[in-house]
Amino acid sequence: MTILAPHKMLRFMRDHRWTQSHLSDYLDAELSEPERRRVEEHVGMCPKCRRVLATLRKTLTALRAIGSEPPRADLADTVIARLPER
Amino acid sequence: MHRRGEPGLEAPGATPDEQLAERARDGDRSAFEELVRRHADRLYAVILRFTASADEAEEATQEAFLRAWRSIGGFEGRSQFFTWLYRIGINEAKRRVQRGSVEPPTASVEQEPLQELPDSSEGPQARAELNDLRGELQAAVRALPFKYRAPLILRDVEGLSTAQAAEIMGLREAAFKSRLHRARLAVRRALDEHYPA
Repeated sequence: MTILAPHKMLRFMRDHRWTQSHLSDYLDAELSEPERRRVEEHVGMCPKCRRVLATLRKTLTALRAIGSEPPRADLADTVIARLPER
Repeated sequence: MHRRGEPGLEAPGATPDEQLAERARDGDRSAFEELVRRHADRLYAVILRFTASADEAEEATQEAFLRAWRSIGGFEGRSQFFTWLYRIGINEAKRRVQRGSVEPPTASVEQEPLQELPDSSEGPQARAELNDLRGELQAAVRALPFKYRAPLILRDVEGLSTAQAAEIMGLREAAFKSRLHRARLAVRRALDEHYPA
């Protein structure tokens, strides 16, 4: 295990906290280029963040694949029939 | 999997929603009826993710369209019609949730140190795990408090953009993204309970 010099440890922890709060933005491609690099550099050094990112990505993939219930038959007609005259 | 994305995208040559809304505002009922036909099924599907039953979701959808019809005069076209409509629908869903229809145990979304989930390699086993995951996912999403469930559903399940989903929620994008991130982490943490240590 690599022992970091104190100033590098401070930098690492700062990047760790920042990365944790920006993982969603990273996965949504909503970070600037420097911010994206910051996440990727830290994830490259941090096994914990690397795995969180991987499992968060899998979670999003699964969420996007959640199916829908079939629509109710004639729902639009039912709604329209209940609209009052103006 | 194709993301659902923006609802009600008209067929080429169809009258845009905003023009129909303008006609409806001027009293053209048939224009509003066309908007109902375009959006009813999708709005119902969204509301169903909050209600305790399909019947309740149908009632809430009907109520949302009734409210929209009564207040169409207030639609000024500053936003897309569907975000205006969905905001009404989400508020209707929220009212029903707060009214005390079956509310599942809520998951904690307080900030906790990020935890790790066991990783799995790609391949058939990973895909089978993904299928099993869906049941747990749906339960985890339903366990979220409304203020976190709604952003997650709009953005990640329904595939709307951050801007559209934030507008529907009536939130600034920064506030919306904060809630979304906490919701995602909470769902991820909930899944952790189903994995061996």
